Amino acid sequence: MFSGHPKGLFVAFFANMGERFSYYTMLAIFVLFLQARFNMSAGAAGDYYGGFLFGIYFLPILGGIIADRWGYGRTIMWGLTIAFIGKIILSAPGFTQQGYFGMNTELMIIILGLFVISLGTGFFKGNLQALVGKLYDEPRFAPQRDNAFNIFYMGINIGAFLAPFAATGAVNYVLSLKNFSYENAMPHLATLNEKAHPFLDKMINTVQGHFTGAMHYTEKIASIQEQMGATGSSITEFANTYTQSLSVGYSSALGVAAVAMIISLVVFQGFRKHFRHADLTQKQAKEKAKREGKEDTSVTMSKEEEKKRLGALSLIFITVAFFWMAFHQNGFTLTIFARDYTVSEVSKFNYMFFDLRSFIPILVAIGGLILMLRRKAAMKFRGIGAALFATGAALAIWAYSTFESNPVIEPQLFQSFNPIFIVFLTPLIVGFFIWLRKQGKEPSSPKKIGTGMFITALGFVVMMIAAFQLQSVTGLSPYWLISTYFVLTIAELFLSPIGISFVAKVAPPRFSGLAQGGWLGATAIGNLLAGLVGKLWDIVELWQFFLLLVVLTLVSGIFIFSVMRILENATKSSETK
Amino acid sequence: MKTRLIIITGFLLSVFLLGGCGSDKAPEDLKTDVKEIQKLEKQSEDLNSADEAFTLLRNLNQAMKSVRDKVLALDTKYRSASEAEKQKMVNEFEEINKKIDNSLGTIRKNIKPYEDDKQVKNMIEKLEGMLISR
Repeated sequence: MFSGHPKGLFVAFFANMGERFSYYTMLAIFVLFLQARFNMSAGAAGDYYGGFLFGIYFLPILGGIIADRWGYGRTIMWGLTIAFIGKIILSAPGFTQQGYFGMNTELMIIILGLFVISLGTGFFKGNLQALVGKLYDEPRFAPQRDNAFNIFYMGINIGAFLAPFAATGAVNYVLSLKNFSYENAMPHLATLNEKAHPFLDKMINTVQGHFTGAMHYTEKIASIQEQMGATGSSITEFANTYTQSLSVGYSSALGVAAVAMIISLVVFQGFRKHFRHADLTQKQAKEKAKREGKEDTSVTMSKEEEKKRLGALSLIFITVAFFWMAFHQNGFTLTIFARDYTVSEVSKFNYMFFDLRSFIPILVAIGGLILMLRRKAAMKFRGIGAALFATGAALAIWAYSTFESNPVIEPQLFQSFNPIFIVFLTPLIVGFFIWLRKQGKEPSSPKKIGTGMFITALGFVVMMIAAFQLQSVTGLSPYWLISTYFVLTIAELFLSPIGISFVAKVAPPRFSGLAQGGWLGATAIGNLLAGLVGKLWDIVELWQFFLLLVVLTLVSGIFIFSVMRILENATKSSETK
Repeated sequence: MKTRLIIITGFLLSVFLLGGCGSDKAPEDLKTDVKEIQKLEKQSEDLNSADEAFTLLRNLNQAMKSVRDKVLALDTKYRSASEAEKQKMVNEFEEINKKIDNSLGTIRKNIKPYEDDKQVKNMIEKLEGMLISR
């Protein structure tokens, strides 16, 4: 899987992993930071989040246009630097006392930071993909292009997977310096405590009259204060110290994100020599050939050919917008489903899949078992497999023994299944494609994308069946959602890395950056559609909601196969470019 | 190509339209929440199982969440209101509060037989923390 690739792929892998780790570390605490610092409602914080995400995926179009004129490597370096500056700007206000700059100014600084990060990411993300694609323009590497993007994609997900743990670690460390621990409710309680709330106080009294466990916010703060053993101060002092400490914690996590950007920058710049031969725009390639007195080998395409290829790319962009619309229900309606319709208490055995201490060893043990039982494996590998299996199993059993009975699962935990599945399913899917290629049966990239759409539909069929089950039970087993995430991840692997590879293959050489920007722009539109479709959640029956997603993804799949000839012709002509 | 473009545009438009269906909901005031809670109060008279009690409490939590958001908005408005406006707000709120008080009393009495059920217990805990959560 990893052999036969140019070294530049692995430079891109690590540079991208660092940048994505940084991005997702920031994203993991972004909404919580806004809520803690500015006491924003979830809806208001969500608006900032949505706007920011749109910028992240839409600005690569601008980044692509610039890189197609300016050069990819140079634009990428600027992108990494700008995003680094953005993260520094974003983390600055949190290190000061709340209100030091004045809240409006602080918010302006945050917005500026977000814009700068979006701009930097716009310069970086699509262009790195374009550069990876260019490495595979060499005929000896060209057949490996799809697999290369699968490997590249794995880097993104390793970064995304590790990020929440880094963010949580940074926040918890800062809190522990004052002997505090993380308490989700504190920022809001502290804000309630700041001002008089005569109507809320009366309403709390009313509820307390019938439900004796209901607490006033001052009582709740006092109970948290006691729980943390910080009883030497008034509740107001405690609340202020806690929120300030939490704010510094969030800013430290943003600082971690900024440091990860430096690592990414160093990796990219330090090993740039592995890219240099491919890091040329069409114009630069011609100039270089002229300067060196060599034959110009860069491809000049007719306007008609360019039009044909851009047409094929547009068809793919439209389809992937629908994929992301369906897929990005994971952070939205599927999380609501996890919260409202999935049992929150599970058995210790089931909890093993929700705790990293047990889940990673389980995956290691499975990997070891596969290695051990492979038909043609050498004894050495069988031995490594056996060792991995034994270590994984022992660690999983140890983790199991530390769990309390009936552990509670948080709804957002379901989201970590996707990056884990990506990392572990990528080798299997790549292996499957390599096997098909050896049989002479590997489908074309557009066929893989179309199949990915059908697999997406299948994922939501699982949810539809789950929704029917809800008519007879109140809380569903978490395996419904886990199965859906599993199927959606397979779909993603058929669609997303292959789609990026397709774009790299088909894009006219003078629009390589713009085409990758277009791919990310389609993702931005998909994200918007995800929000729009998600609004139906409260209006229609659950099964109808999932049926809609099944229909939309099926229609998109059928559409792809209906234009297959156009897409495959574009791929074929690109192979001769 | 033209036909395909028409199909794609139609497809996109239909999704936008479908998505937009829920976006024009008119803002409701506290009186609407009271009506919802009174409806739940009536439903609580016919509870036959823990599952029904759970569903009722889940809906009550949703209604109380809405009450919480509006009460917080009312508190904000109160701070900058004139004395006359303040008095009017207090009077209106007292009336609403009384109705919610009555309904909660009845619901509490009617769910008592099921409160040992684990899921019902969870919902009660959620309700107890609803007004001070975000």
